[in-house]
Amino acid sequence: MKWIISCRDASKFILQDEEKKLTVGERRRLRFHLAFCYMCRLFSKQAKLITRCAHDAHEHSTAAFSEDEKQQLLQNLNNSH
Amino acid sequence: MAGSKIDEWVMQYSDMLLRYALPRVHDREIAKDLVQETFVAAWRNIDHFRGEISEKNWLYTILKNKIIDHFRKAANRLTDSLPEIGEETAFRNNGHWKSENYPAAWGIDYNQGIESKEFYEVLDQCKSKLKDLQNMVFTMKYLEGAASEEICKVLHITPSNYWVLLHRAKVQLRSCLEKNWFLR
Repeated sequence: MKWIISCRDASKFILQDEEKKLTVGERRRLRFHLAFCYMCRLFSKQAKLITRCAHDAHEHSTAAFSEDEKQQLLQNLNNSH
Repeated sequence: MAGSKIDEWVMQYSDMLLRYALPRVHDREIAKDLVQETFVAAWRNIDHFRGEISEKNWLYTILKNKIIDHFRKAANRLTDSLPEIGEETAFRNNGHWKSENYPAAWGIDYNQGIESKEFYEVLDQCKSKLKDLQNMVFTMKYLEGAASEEICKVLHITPSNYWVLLHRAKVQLRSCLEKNWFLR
């Protein structure tokens, strides 16, 4: 692999780095790319923020069964033995 | 089924389980079915429930398995030809960001959490726009916290497909959140 990597590769390396799936050489190339690429530095921070938010998504949900749906659910459950 | 216990479960846990399933499957009918199947499976296995974990966590565990099963079946229908692999949207041929996908500064502290309910609605909408396989990879990885090896096994994809799908999902979701929330 070339010493200079593209933004496509760098953004993929950023995700692979979260899973500790980069070789020493790949991590070095990623660091070098990030040193001069403002957009990929932003991508890295934003990707990590999205990871944290996605993990908590259901805690912020307000979804609920309607009364009708709940009755239907109860009826289905009582019919299934 | 014995009425009172089921009534109690439905009253106490059905909304909680629906909230867990919905952002993962993005379809209310499927989510409702999964919740129903969870209660049925729990009832059938009630003799095996020893109270080592709470009833609530036991139901969560059953639902999680139902969701993974749902993904396994859905992926089986999809992965024969892997139509989602091959197209590239966010990068130019030379590997540079396309102008419409340039990450822009969001003007926030990236280390802070986000509490706004509306943000999570936008996140859910953006996620639901992902293609099926991308969405399943994203869900298993970031919502369920599954290991990549397990994700590949369940969805019948190779590690290299996994990285392509996860990469595209995250790039697309980032752009969508930027347009519809952070810089709207």
